[in-house]
Amino acid sequence: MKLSDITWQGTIPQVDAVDSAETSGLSMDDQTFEGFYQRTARSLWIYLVRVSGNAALADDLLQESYLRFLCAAHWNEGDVACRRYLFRIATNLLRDHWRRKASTSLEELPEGAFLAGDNRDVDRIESQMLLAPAFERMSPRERQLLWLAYAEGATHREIAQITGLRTAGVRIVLFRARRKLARLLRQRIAVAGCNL
Amino acid sequence: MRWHSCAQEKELEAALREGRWPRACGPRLRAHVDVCRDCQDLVLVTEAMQEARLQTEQVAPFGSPGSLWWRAQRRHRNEAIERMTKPVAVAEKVGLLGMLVAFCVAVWQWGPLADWLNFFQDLLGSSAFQLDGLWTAFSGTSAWVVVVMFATLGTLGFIAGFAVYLLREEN
Repeated sequence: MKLSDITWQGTIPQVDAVDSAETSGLSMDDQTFEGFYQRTARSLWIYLVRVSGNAALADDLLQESYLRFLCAAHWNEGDVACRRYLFRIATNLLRDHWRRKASTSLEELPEGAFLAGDNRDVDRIESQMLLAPAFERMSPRERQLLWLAYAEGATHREIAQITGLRTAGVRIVLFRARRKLARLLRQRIAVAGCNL
Repeated sequence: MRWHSCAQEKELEAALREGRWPRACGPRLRAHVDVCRDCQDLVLVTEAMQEARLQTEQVAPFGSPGSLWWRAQRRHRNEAIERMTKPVAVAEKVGLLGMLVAFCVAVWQWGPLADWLNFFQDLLGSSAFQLDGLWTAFSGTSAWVVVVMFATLGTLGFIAGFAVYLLREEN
């Protein structure tokens, strides 16, 4: 094709085609995304609100997680892989949020870090429950692992993929965290029993 | 601290996950849990977590996936535009920087440059070309040589900018 053969009339439809390709260049179409969102949004929001203890923050991180997921994920990897990828994005966003506040690694953060703030949404949600006070005494990393393992039912390998830890490390931290949480829950049950 | 798991843990985990604990489990597993501290911990923690999950699910907001989809489209498009314009922006900056450096060098090293320009002038067969000062370089017939020189340097800078960008992308 000669350069003189190229006309604006011929070029503009090509620009439009590129534009529509960009529009549909997301990892999945809107119908598929809607289904995926309905299957995953609640779980992800609950994970974020439980680990962060802040419903407003969970809302923000949920939206950002889906935006990043849509711009980056490959839907042909399957539902399970996409779900795991989504949780990984959310976990990284949580970590970034904590790092901005503390400028230290997640493992070094103290127990109850970023949970006992002014915004006690989780306490409002479940004031009658025993878990929230016990959860406050766990570190952010322990809260993440416990929630993924026992509320989401994720395997050690899946947790490792979501959090970026080694599988063996997950097993050890999880075992210790579970024992610690069980001890705290028993203490709360005993205190609640005495108060009755 | 000992951290290896109990042999019955997998079976108990599956029963808890599938909602079979305790009624749909055999007496052997229940008897084991009665005496195993690790399994008791597992039951206590899992039941507390699952109950908390159910309670939180009732208050979980359910936003619109449509608005997220629309925002993702906008972000995706903006990122694409940014990707397309980035090399041009980088090349522009490098080109401008190159021209600025060339200008500074020209001012600083005017003597050798004037000789060099004279050489070119002689080469082109031009007569009566004397560089007495800076003003002569920008006046009359010699001005176009300076313009061509700066334009060449700018173009080289622009191409260098592209090269820098491509190398950075490759890395």
